[in-house]
Amino acid sequence: MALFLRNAAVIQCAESARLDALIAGGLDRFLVERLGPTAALVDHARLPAIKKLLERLGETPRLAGS
Amino acid sequence: MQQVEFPDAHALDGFSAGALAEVKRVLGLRTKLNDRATLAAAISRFIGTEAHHALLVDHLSDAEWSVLAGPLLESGEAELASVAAALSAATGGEGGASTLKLLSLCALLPDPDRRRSGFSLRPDEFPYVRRYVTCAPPSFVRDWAEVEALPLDPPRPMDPPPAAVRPMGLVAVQRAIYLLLTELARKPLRHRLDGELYDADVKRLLKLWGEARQESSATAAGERPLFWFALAILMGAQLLQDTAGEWRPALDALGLLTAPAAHQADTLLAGWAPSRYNEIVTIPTLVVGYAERQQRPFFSPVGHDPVAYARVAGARAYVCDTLRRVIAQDPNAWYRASDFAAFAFRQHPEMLLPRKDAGTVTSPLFESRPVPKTPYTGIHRSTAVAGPDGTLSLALNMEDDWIEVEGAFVQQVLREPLSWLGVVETAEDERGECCFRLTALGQHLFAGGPVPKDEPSQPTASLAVQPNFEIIVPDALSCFALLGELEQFAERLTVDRAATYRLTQNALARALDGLWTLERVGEVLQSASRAPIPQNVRFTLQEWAAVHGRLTLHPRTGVLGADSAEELDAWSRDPRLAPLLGQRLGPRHVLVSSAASEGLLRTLTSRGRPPIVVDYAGSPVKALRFKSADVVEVRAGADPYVRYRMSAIAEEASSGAREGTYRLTEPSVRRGVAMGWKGAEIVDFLATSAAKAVPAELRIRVLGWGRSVAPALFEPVIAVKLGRSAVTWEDLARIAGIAERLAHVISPQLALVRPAELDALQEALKSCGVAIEPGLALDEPAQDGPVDEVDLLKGMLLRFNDHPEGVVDAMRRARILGKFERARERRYYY
Repeated sequence: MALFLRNAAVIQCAESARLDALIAGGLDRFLVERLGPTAALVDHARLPAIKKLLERLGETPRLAGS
Repeated sequence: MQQVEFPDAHALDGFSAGALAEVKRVLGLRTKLNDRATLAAAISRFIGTEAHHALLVDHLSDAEWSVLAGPLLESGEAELASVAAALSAATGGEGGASTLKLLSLCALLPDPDRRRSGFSLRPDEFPYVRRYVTCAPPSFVRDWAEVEALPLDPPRPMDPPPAAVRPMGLVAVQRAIYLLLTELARKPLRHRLDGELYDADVKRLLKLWGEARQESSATAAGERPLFWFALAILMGAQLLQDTAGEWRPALDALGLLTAPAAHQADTLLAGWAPSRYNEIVTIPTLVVGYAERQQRPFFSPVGHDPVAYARVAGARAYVCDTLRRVIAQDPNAWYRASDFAAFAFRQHPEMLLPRKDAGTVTSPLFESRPVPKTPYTGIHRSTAVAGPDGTLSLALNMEDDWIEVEGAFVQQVLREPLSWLGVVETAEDERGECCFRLTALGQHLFAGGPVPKDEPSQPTASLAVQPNFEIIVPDALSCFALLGELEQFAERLTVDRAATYRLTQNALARALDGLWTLERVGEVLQSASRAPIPQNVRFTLQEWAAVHGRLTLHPRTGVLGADSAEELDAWSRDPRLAPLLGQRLGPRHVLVSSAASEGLLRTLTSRGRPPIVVDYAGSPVKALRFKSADVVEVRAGADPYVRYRMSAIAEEASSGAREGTYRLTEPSVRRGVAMGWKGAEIVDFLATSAAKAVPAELRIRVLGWGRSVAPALFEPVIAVKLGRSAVTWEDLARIAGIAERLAHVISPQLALVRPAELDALQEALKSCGVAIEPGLALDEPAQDGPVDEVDLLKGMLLRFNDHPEGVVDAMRRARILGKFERARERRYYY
């Protein structure tokens, strides 16, 4: 059965290698499900920690609206 | 005659409803409703109008006017009996009827502060009006009668003008406003339900102001009023808006600073008029209130200030009005502030404070009687001054010292708020007295002069970008528009005469998340820069922008997961569904905007494929089931987040178990804790996901493994139990040498003793004839059987004088306490 998630947190990269690197760099702790090569569903309850991790990994993610 | 706003509408509370109706009739007012509120509102609107004035001129005799313009006006208020006496003397008739007439015409009003008398206008009640009822004429009458009766010359221009002019303009206020608006846009200023500002937020702002560490220094004390002034006028001008308990900048509030100076001053002047700024507190020669700590120059919504907020607001409006009426006649001239203050005060002695009679009769009939001075309540000199008899005094009275209070207030308004707003410029004459004149801006705002031309701004060469990523704006006060742009993509370090900012990756990312692009940032920097942007800065900005673009975080988005890639492909080709789908995230998943989500769900439902909807803003509902003390089963169809959370804190059960069965173990829970989950959070997750309480054993284990339970502490002790007897440990503990050997008395029969103390206790008990022997088994039922309550009670009764509560305890054990109490009750009544 199809599943529709509201208020989900998703990280989307331009390249799959970058997402691999992020997961290897610690994002795996917050990884709920990898949705595709360049996108991952992450823990919506831990967004501050995720942002801090991304900052530590040299990323300043673009914040998208819904 | 100019219409004067009637200031004491609530004085009408002193009239009864019938009296108000009578007043309405005499004044010739027409109201549809005759209830008390409607009548009071109609009469209060009428008082002070041209029509009211005309009515008084028509109806009052010269004798009555002389009473109004005489002692009553000088003292502000008088007892009703005094007015009646003065009218009797002036008219040669019965004073009561004339007083009643003045009251009916609203030429007199009962003192609102003393309306407890329940004053009524009914003629039959008038003789009974007590002496403590005071009356005052409306300010309209006072103004009119004073101007007529006591003509005053306006202050004369100074000749020659002062030499040294104190430099002052709008810039200090602009800087304060800029700092406040930018800071409050970042983090608003909270207030309590009663409107009082949060101390922590005020301290934060004062720290930003650069004062928090030097609050006692003279420099800081001099600047602090400007901070409060800026805050107050921003609120007054509604450039700060109260939203859900927080003061936040209004939309485009910062835009004010880029407007022409005349518009800025006009807006800020309008904001100052009703503002909660308190000029009285800033007068250096006065101490206001009784608090030892210096007060903030800002009216608290819940404070009790000696001079009320409305009075100060009214007084500053009056000062501005007097400036318009008097000074504007020769707007270029310099005036002594003290002359202007004296003129303003003589024109309107109650500009700041009601001038009350001290309680004695002040009519011409009693002129020979010495009149006591009326003290200023809650206002004192900051330094004692010698009086006529040579004694030093801090006290001020309304008769002699108005120049130090009302006069100082007028001068303070000129020296600070009006000067800060660029309306007047001030100087000191040869005697060191303050003098002032209207600036070009002031002449425009107060005397209808031409709009002054703004000094040309500096559109070019306004900033310098350093190789270390710092941006320096040397003349920050001339380019607030530029500062506003820098705020968007750089981090502010300092703002003073010069401002410094730093370009950072986070600040740039924040700007790019908004409406900015890298090109626009470059354009702003390049167009305002004195020199080309350093190469390393340019390259780094490009790099940061590239990094920013390669990763997107959707913090709250919709995601649709199809059962298969083929199904999603089909939906993507569907002309009704395709427009509702966003970017594809993977083979089975696609983004859905919140705007499209409802339409998508409706369409899928209409196709017979309603998806399971999970909202992460809420809690997962019945996604788990507790199977045993450490096993949890995730229900089929649960969303991936539940599985993710379970994987973080539990091991997936091995062969033989159903799919989705997890076992919580100590290592798995510890792993979850290491990932940042607390034991209590895990329990909470389990409870909300299962929609039921976590079984006690599992809860304790998770809390324990999650290190949410403080370790239990132990100490080896020996339990000593007394045998059947009337002796208890409480009795024994009264004997010297025993109490200090006991670690803890658990019950009358059981006590704990530290091993090292056992021998000493044994000796101490032996001296009382009580032996200790080994053989106590706590896990066995009591060997000594039930205590014989009768024996126990007998023993206690024998020692009643030493230990009365032991008797009660023994009676309770013997279940005879109730009988005893009932017997005692009967004896009481007997």
